[in-house]
Amino acid sequence: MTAARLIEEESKAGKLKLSKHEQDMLRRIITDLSALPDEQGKFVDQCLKAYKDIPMFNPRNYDL
Amino acid sequence: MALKRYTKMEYGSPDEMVFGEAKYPVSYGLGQTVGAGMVIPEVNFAPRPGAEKNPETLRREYVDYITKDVLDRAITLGFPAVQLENEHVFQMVNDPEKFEKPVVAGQKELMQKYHDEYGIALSIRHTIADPRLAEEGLRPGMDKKHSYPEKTIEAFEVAAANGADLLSVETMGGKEVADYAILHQDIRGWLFGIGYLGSLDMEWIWPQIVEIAKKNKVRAGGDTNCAGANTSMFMAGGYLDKDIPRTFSAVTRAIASARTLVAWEAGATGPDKDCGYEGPIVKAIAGKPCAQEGKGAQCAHADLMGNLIAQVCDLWSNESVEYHPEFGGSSVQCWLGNIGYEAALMNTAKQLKQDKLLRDLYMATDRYRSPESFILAYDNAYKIGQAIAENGNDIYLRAKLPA
Repeated sequence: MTAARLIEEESKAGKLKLSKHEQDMLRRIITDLSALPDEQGKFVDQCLKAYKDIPMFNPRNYDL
Repeated sequence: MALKRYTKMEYGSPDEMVFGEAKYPVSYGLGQTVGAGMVIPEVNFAPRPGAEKNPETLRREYVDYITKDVLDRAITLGFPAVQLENEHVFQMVNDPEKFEKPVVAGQKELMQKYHDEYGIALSIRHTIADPRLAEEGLRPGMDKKHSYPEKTIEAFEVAAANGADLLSVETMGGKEVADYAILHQDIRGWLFGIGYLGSLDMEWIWPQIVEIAKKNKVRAGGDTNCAGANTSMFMAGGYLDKDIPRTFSAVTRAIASARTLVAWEAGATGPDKDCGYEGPIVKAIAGKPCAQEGKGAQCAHADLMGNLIAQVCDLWSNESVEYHPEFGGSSVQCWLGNIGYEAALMNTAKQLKQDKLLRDLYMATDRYRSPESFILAYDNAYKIGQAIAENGNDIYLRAKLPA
């Protein structure tokens, strides 16, 4: 979480001004990314289930 | 073809990076070398609506009007080197023999004439359109209605065989998921769409582009995640916009870098595409030249890093401008003037050994203007690059950990 942490640190230091909306999003991003597995296979399985109903998404386009 | 993964940084520190210099300069075209001590303006344009009516009207627009205007103005202003970029319209990929070939050949013929007569270094990037539709199929044999995957590859072949110096594309792989994820502000979905699926699509298309380039003795340049990270950036917008948080957009840029890197891992030499704002990150990893756009691209869009993004560029671009008259000449002439003079400033700074000072002025101007400009400041871009390279062999982790 390099980018998110860089932004968080600079915001806390007061140099990078973020709106509440942006701060809330940043916290959510850090929480969501922290919850992801470290193994690629697990991540892909999770996402194929979670996003299977997105219109136009076809795993065959990616040999999945 | 096996991909050569980047697992270490080509630059030893962020301070080694500066505009107009890359670890691995690239030569091509008519006396052009990019990344070898000079920033080169790259002028990009679009034909007027209706010019695509038939192959001859399109050829006339691109060759007799746009290219001639660009070359005349470059000579008039005394620019020593110019790169043209032709972002192909749909007709050129849908029917390459009829619409693309005469344009590509005609532009090169005219460029050769100016190069011979005036000695100006010239080159042209052809950015092939990617009209593939996820719902019809992204791979050969899947799209029974339009055959877009096959036509996309054919368009690269035709460009390379008829006068292109540099091949690029803005691939669409993963966009169908990334668009959904932006609207739902779902970073996991975006990581899956661009970081994972997008990288898989790049692994499919870029080895083919590199082979076509090699066969025709031209260069494969690079890609951009315009379709993904720029969608985030423009939806996040500026201080009046509230729909998509700019923190979300900034993190998507870091993810997109891992995807854009795949083109170079497949053997493309750079320079990558101007609209890839992730350029400083991938340049830090790979040492290949990057094209950027910022304040000289106000004809196309507003961003929040108009100066900063020039910090380590090798080509300086106007993004794209529709061909039309302006007070100072045609639009392509006016915007070439804008980016050409900026490149001249950078090159003068190099001659006077003030280039790192100018780099830092560019960077400081916009460092705190937005979260995205902050993470793209060259010191932070380097750190994000390190997170990618440290996990270079795993396309999931190398997109997740820099995020």
